[in-house]
Amino acid sequence: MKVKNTSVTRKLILPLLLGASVAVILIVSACQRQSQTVSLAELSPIVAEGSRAYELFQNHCAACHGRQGRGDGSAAIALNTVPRDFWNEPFRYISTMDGVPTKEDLAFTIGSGRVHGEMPSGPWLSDEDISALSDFVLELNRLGWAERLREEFASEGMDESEIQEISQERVTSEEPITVPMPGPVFLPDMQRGRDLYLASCGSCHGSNGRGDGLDMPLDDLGRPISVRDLVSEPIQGGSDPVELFKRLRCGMPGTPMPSQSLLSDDDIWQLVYYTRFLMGQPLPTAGR
Amino acid sequence: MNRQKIQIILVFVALLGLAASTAFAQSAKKKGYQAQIVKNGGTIVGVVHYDGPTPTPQRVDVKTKEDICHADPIYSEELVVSDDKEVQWAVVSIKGIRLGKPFAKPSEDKDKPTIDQIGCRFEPHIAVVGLGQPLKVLNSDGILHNVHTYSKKNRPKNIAMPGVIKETKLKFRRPEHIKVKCDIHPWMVAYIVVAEHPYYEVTDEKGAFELNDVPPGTYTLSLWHETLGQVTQQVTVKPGEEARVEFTLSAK
Ligand code: HEC
Ligand code: HEC
Ligand SMILES: [Cu+2]
Repeated sequence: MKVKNTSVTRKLILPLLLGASVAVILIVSACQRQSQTVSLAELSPIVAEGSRAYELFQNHCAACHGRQGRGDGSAAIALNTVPRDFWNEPFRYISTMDGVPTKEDLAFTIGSGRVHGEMPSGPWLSDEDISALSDFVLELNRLGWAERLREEFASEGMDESEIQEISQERVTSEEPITVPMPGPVFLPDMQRGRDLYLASCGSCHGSNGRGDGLDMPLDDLGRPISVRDLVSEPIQGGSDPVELFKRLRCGMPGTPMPSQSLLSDDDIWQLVYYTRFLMGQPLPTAGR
Repeated sequence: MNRQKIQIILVFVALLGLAASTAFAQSAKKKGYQAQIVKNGGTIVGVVHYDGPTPTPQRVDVKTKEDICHADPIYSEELVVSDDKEVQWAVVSIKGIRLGKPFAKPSEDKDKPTIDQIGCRFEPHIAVVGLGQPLKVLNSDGILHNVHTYSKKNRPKNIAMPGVIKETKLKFRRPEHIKVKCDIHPWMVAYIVVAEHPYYEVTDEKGAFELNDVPPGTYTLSLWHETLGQVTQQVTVKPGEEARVEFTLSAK
């Protein structure tokens, strides 16, 4: 018995020591990281620690987006899609031509949870909470712009007022586009739709919409990104015609998905319905 | 009117003048560059040399199927050095010049600032456009390209140009060197240089550049290259004379 016991302790001691030292290293590095992260309160009252928005963010969003919204939450690795890094990435689900979401776009994203296949964030947040969270993520985005401008251009003489001006501009949206309803005689024409699709989308989404057109697509941060498989993947921003119209017209900033700013409204509608056809969604019929 | 009153008025006028002049100075600073007719200007000519072994041109491995992308071999323009070790595609500009000639106003359409998508390349590799002036963006290929700008001071854009669209225009609000890419043909890279004044030149295949109608004075010349970095050099321009400068960029 005794002999066995010591051998067990001997067997245990090495892993225990190893485990303990790993734990120490982890704790030390965690502390260092903690001390390296900036205090948000020093940067802007909108995102200050202790504010309502900050608390909401910690409770509902930080697990994926990280405590300061840098896309590095502990649950992030388990997801198929990388959670947005609000400091360094633009917003993708927008309804403007200037690459900036309106507050309504953000509220829709956060409230409906549509971007968040994995997380129905909406139901337990009040309109006020959603509005506060929209301001919160937009302000982080502004701070990120300011940070990058400072890093790159301060040495070339860009002063703080210009940094503030440009970063503010980067998060201030113009009017959203109006989605003009197709005229009464409009009918989805699958042949026209397919021609337009092959001419404007097929290079990336593949001739059959399977997202296999590009060799090694990258996002604006240089990370691999996949082109949406329109046939089988969920359409994050919503597959209803109006949302699709916005996605095609406005594009998805930060990704290869461009804005179709040069096509006519009718052509966009044909593309919307052709996309819905690829997705297996019902199409409108005559006399709709 | 007694003396005291006159003194007060004088002080008042002086203050007003001071206020007006600082306001003027500020507005001038805000405005940046001011154009005027340059008489007696000088010329700055120069060459950009390369210090290092001449790099071999890198042929692009064209992975897409479109025929037009395979019509002519495509070479990377990231670093183009002549046999005599001169650097093409370097941008020379006069740093912070406040007064000088107006921007050229080309009457011919073909002389207007333009960038074309042709043979699955951007042509030219570096396009210079004056601040607030339109840049013509052409698509001669008749296939889908997307013009994706990675700007930081200006609003980033990513515009689809399907084959049927032959031309569009871009405008920029702030001076900047903007990287442009096409996501469909990832080797397609260009730079748009938004110039705050007309003293910007891109070096040719002999690494040469020439800036003319420069008001006499001493300036800092700035040289920028996408991979070799940025250097500056002082130059003094005398009326009607040619000032020669040589730059050397070191291999990275
Ligand atoms: C389960 C993980 C998870 C949680 C929790 C989560 N998010 Fe997200 N979020 C993501 C992912 C993943 C994306 C990227 C989706 C995409 O690119 O399609 C994202 C994207 C976003 C976007 C970007 C939308 C756009 O237009 O690009 C916003 C805004 C956002 N989240 C806000 C929030 C807020 C606010 C909360 C808390 C109420 C929250 N998220 C909670 C995973 C999460
Ligand atoms: C240059 C490549 C490219 C082109 C051209 C392109 N797309 Fe995309 N598209 C993408 C990428 C990449 C994504 C995925 C973005 C992401 O993951 O956030 C995407 C996403 C989408 C989505 C998903 C939106 C959502 O809410 O989830 C739809 C729908 C779509 N594209 C339709 C189209 C249609 C229709 C066209 C032609 C009019 C088109 N795309 C042209 C690259 C492209
Ligand atoms: Cu292209």
